[in-house]
Amino acid sequence: MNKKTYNCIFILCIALFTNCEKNSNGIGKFDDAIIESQSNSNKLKQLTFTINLSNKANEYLNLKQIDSIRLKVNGKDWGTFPSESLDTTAKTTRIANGLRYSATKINYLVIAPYTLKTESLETAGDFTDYLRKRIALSAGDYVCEVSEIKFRNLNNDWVILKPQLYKDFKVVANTSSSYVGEIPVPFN
Amino acid sequence: MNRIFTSILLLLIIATSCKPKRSTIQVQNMLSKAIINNVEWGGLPLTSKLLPGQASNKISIYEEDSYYDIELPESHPLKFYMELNGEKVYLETRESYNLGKGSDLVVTITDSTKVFNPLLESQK
Repeated sequence: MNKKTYNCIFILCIALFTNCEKNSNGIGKFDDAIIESQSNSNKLKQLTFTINLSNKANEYLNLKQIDSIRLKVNGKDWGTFPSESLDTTAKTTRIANGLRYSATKINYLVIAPYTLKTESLETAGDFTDYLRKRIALSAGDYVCEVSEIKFRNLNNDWVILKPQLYKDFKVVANTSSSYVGEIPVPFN
Repeated sequence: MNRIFTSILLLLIIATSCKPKRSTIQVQNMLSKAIINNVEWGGLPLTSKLLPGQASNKISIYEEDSYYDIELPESHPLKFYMELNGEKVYLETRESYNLGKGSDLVVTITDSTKVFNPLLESQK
């Protein structure tokens, strides 16, 4: 088994483990009162993917963590998420403009659970909307957009990118998580 | 002749006054897409299931209903389960609906009906 395959399996294992933990918390603030249907096949609650940022010289940004990644799915806001933190000690090959670069690829794992942002439920219509929105995505093909990435450089200043990258993915019935794959982000 | 007429009149008055007054209550589901189940008012079951747009039968209640322990007039909220895509939530209306002696009450559940779930209320 080569190193690349091993890394992929490791990342997927972390994603699945974290998925199990987050499912028990539900996807919305009012889920304590909701009795979920056991027969409902629309259970997708979480997207996982890896992301890397590289320049034209094929150098990869070396960060401890990407602080914020804003996602849209089929044009609608999915949420804003940090990446999992990484130990990238001894991977830096160059420092320029307050940023560390590495000659080897650094993939950041992102776990993006769907979160309902409903703040209050006052009427019967609010409750029907809430129940309707809990079904995040039914089985089928979708497009995920990375609309914004934020991280801090070595001077602790924010670096904000607006990559507007698109990646298609498939939602399979009766699954609660979908792995979108690797998203490479060009960075100048 | 007069005696017979008076007797009949008296009997009629007694018969009418002894007949308990009948009230009715009916509920209609005007929620879009959502089903409402097990609707009750003051412990009285009104209907087991209402699809969107559907109204229940009129449920008759007499002045003193010993089985459900109701003595009209009474005011109660509606309690029901709301179901959408197989997911359920228990709800109670904030408003209490008054049913008087000999009156007919129709309660319509719409998107703007104010409701709450006691569990979520206790978490506020």
